[in-house]
Amino acid sequence: MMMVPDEGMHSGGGSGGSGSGQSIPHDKEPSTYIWRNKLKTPDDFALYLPKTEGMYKADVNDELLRDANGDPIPVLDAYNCHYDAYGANSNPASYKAPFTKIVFFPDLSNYRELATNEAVQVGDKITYYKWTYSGQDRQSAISHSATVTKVDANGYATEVRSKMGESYGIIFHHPRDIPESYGLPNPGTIMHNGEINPNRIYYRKVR
Amino acid sequence: MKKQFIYTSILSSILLGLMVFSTPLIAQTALRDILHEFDKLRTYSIKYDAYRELNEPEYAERKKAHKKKYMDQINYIKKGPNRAIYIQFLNDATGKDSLRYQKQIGMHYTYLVPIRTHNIGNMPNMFEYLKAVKYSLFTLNKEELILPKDIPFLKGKL
Repeated sequence: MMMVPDEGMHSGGGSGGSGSGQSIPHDKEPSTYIWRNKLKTPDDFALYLPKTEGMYKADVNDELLRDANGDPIPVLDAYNCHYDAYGANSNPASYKAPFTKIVFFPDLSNYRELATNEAVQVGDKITYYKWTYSGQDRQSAISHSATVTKVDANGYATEVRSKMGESYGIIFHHPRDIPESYGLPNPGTIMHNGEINPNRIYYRKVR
Repeated sequence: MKKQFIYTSILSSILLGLMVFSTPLIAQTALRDILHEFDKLRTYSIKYDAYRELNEPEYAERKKAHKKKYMDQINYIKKGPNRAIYIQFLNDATGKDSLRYQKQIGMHYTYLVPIRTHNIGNMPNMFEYLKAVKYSLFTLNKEELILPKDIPFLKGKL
């Protein structure tokens, strides 16, 4: 797997990049990478990210707290990045009851991909993709979602809001300044078979 | 005399009630203690697994510390003073009490990047986790938990 050049990437193709594609990045290289360099191990996450309750109540050592009967105590309000950006997903394959706010993939049915040269707006969404094999479908490659909070005068996104999994809180960062586990900062990935798959896609709610 | 008899009867009833209700309470407290040890093992296993493949010098100290906690906990469960209790618990949890533990979902014991979302349905539940512990430490007599990919009944699980 290789990274494509940072700018001037042209339309995706193949199964992963299929659809309308995204030919021009809607963001630019940041001057520095802050979070990408910090967030590598579980100890890093615990050190640098705000903590929230995850699926179950736990103590400071991440060990489960159990009720008087010895059962773990579910946190039904625990939510993740996709829920924070797009809200609930009614597709029963997208969650596991009773944790309806921990959404495995977002409901994109009311969203459209931003077109080439279309300026990004505050409130637009980004979904990140991390590709691991040629021919991979888009849904299985989804790694993260975020909401655009700042754009520059040219319509490039400069800041997004991210909920970091169900166990960590919200941070604000440059759209390319993402931990390695969310994928590559470049616009796309060239796969072994020559496919170019987008590493993130900007979406806008259909009115 | 009659009054004293009534008081004695009431007192006896209260004491009997306390005995009846306190026995399961003690059992539950013990069960929570036992579960806590297996919860600790799961937490330590995840952290050990997270550092297993990190070979850069900067992670060496943390890797060593997480490995020690994990191995110590394995040792405590497998060879410690409560070994017989833990074996009995594992037999019950994977046998007559298995339904109860199947309801406790999302109990993976390998490292899944916590800032990403993973399909909870693809993770072992508590029953499967405890079955993996029993299989690894007591059936196969290993000194660490076998990864799901190498356990026949956890194929396809995270």
